Amino acid sequence: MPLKHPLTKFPLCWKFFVCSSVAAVCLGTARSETTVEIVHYFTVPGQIQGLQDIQKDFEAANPDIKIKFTYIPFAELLSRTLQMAAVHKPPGISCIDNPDVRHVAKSGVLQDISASVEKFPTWQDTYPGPKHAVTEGTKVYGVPIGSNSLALFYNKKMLSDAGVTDPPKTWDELKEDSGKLTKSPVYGLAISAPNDEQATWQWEPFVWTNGGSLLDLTTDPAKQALQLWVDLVKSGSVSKDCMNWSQPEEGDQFIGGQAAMMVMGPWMLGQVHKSGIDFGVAPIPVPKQGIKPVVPLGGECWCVLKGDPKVEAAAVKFIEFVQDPARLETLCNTFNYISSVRSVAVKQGQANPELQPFVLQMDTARARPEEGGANYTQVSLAARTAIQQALTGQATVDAALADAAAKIKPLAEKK
Amino acid sequence: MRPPAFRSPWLYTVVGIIITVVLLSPLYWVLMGSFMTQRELFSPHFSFWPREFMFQNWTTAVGRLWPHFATSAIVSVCTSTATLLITAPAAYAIVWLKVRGRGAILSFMLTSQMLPAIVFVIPLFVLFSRMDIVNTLPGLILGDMTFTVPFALVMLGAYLREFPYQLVEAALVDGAGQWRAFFSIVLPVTMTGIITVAIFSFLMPWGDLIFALSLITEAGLQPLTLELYKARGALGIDWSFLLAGSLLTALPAALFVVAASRFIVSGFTRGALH
Amino acid sequence: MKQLEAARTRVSPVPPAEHRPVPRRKAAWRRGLAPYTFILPILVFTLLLLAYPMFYSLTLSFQDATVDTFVSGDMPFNGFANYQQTLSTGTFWQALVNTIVFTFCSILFQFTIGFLLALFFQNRFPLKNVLIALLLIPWIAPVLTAAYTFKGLFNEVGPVNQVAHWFGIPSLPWLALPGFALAATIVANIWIGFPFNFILLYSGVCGIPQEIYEAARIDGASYWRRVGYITLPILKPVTVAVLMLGTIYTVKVFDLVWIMTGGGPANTSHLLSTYAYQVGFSLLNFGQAAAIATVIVVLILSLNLFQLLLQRK
Repeated sequence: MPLKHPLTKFPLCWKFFVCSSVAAVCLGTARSETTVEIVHYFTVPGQIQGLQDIQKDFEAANPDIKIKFTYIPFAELLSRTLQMAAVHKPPGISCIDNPDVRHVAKSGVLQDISASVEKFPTWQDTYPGPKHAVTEGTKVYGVPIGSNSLALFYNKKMLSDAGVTDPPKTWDELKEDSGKLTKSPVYGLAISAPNDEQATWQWEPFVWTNGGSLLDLTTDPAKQALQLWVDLVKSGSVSKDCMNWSQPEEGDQFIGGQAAMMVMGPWMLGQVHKSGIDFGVAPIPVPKQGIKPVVPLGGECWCVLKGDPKVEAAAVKFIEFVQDPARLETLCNTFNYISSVRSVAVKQGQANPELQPFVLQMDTARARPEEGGANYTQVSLAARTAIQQALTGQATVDAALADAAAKIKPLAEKK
Repeated sequence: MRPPAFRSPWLYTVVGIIITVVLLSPLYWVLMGSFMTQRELFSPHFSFWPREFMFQNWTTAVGRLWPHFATSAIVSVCTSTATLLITAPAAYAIVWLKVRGRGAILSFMLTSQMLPAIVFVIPLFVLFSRMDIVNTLPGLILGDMTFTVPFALVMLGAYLREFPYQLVEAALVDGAGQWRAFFSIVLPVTMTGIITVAIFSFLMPWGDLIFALSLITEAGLQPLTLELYKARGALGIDWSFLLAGSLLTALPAALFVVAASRFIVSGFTRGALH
Repeated sequence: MKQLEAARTRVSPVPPAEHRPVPRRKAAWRRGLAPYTFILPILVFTLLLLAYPMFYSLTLSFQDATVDTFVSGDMPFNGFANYQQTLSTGTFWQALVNTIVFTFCSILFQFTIGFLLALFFQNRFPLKNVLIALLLIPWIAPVLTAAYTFKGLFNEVGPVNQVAHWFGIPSLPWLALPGFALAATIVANIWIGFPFNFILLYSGVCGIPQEIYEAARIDGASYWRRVGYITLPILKPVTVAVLMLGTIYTVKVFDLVWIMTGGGPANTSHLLSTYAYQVGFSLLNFGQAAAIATVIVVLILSLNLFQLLLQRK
């Protein structure tokens, strides 16, 4: 429609446009307000509320800085951040999922904030896992908002009905209990193994605790970990549909009562509470008694993007504001995350027994890019193809893992 | 055109209803599910009827979606109108006026449609950023037109082939100009096709997600589809919102079609128009 | 047949010679240019908004455009490297085959169902318009919803398996079996797409004047013969358009498969579109994604040419 605009009207419009934009610029500079745009993918109303509360407090304490939250769906956040940077309109902060931080940093869009961050009192107290996720050498590219990992949720009533007194602690107990708890149409255990990162993520506690590594999947620990899953599916304790469930859908199964236990993270606590199920949370079952679980680290990080230095400074100020221990505790509780700061996390665990297993696992939690660095995404892709091939029976555990290992080898060396 | 006639038209209605029910049966789950809690929705015993009707699912959904209706409506109406404005004359010119370059335009249009949307939106985002129309409704309308215009051109071209050009020839001989002939003869006679294309040019932006996703981040400017997409959060799927919201999103579009389809008149009245 | 022709001309009368005034000669250049004003707006639109993305994408497919290079803007040309990498990945070929199967089956059923419905709705009966609007819902409803709906239907405890039980077929984890997963997505896609075919064909059939059918009825032609000899030939342009557009849209289907299977299990139900997405947005290799997109374009072009050739015969 604007394509057919008659030329005669232009000069008047143009004059008006120029005048008003000059006025706007004048007004703008007069107020000299800095706006920090924060892009994120949080959708739960409680989380949004938590963010808005912090925004209010921060803007009250810093009247010359405005915070703007922009929602971008989970799958698009990374590419959108890159696109915005490419057209020179970067957001102030991007809430990037921790395994992607170092990958994105390679593109040069993230600002190294090590100078400011090292002055934060909470930085020294941050768990090593999350710290590794955002650190490249001496450079720091983000500050973790919070962390999460995986544990075992169990339906108390179903366990007692089946005569299982305690949630399983070892792999053998896991297999046994899942079997006992499986009573068609209910499955003993639910996992999430779809054709994306979630499959690798859910498998990592098992392969890592057993001493295996994604970088060499041909070792026995890796084979045993995958065999565990294959056995669970073959024996019918885990539904074959697990290969189609994202974690939210896996949660639906547990909440609906179609699974007695599930491997899940703390973010689901809100929904499970709402459903009214009487449940408990236990640490991830380990291969043998006494081994400490090694779980992967989840959780997003506040990453500052390179741009207007005033915006960058304001962004760092915001992050520092959030790092105040009391505020951090409130925020992480709202998000059902474990704080990446030890003192805060311990407090959370003491206040909330359901968070305690997660807190205990934080000491040994591992950041995923430790296996493959910037190539982690491709490593994960190869691993989950192997997982699905083994679960469908398309390939034996050994063959599937050998296949994946062959694909991973060049990636590991490229690091 | 009538197949061997049934005695009463109501028999057709009954058959029509049966066909509709069969074809729409998957929606039953959506409808019933929109009244259930998450726990009931996924219970191992597939229930055909909600234990209790959670009307608050619907009130919440209405509350969340209401502000976005206006946006979706504006975008759809504008896209549809703009599409018809630039495509109807072009389709006519290509089919009957034999303008030079028509082959190139058509093939180009079609080829542009073959590019997957996700790849298409990246350069569009870059272009619109430079033109500063990202996060604006006109920007979204232009973006949506990139798929409604080629569609409209192809379909209108096809419908126009049925058009009897002799009517225009007669008028031209009478001294009418090309545009006059177009407005007074071509448009009325091909109204059926035009209305159909208008309906789809309205519905396509209404249901579009990818372009809205890439071009709009401002919460206040988001159309219905984007708000609904939030049901699929990273941490959990908000089923009650998704199911109730989907029906709420589809309903106005269906009502629009009912209203507009009255204009799709059957062939036997067309002969009288000239 | 003669009556047919007579009927067609009866509809579009030309005034008899004696009533036609002496034709005024319009200036030659005026007649020549007026038609071009008809296409001016669309030309501008095409150049600005369609040409640019296409050339951008084509260029991108020859560049090394990944996370590292995309932002800075200087993405080095790497010739056919993206294409080579794509063509040497097994998943790509699987996706290609899947896409062809998916498209062929979807279009076949969507078109047939749509056409039969278009014929049925030619009758006038009460509530006709309401039913038409209702039947559009599978197409209007968000693909998100349809995808989750069918995901639920094909669940291990879902309705499809329950119905299968009645026929003595054991329940299958449809979406977790290679091959069956793709079949499930095809069924879902047919459901989503038939209204598109239905309405467009319906309008086309509506546009056929009744007199032609009357003439044929008088000739003694049965219903299905009338459909075969009148409806289908007259509808040919519309049919070609619907099939062509349908093919293009079906090859591009993405959301549905992505949500239902994610391309799994083990990459067996990937379509070219989902594979491109995985490469472009999960692995952030935009250059390769553009290369796959170009392959998609070439594929669709060939499919359309193939269809056109079939029509010629």
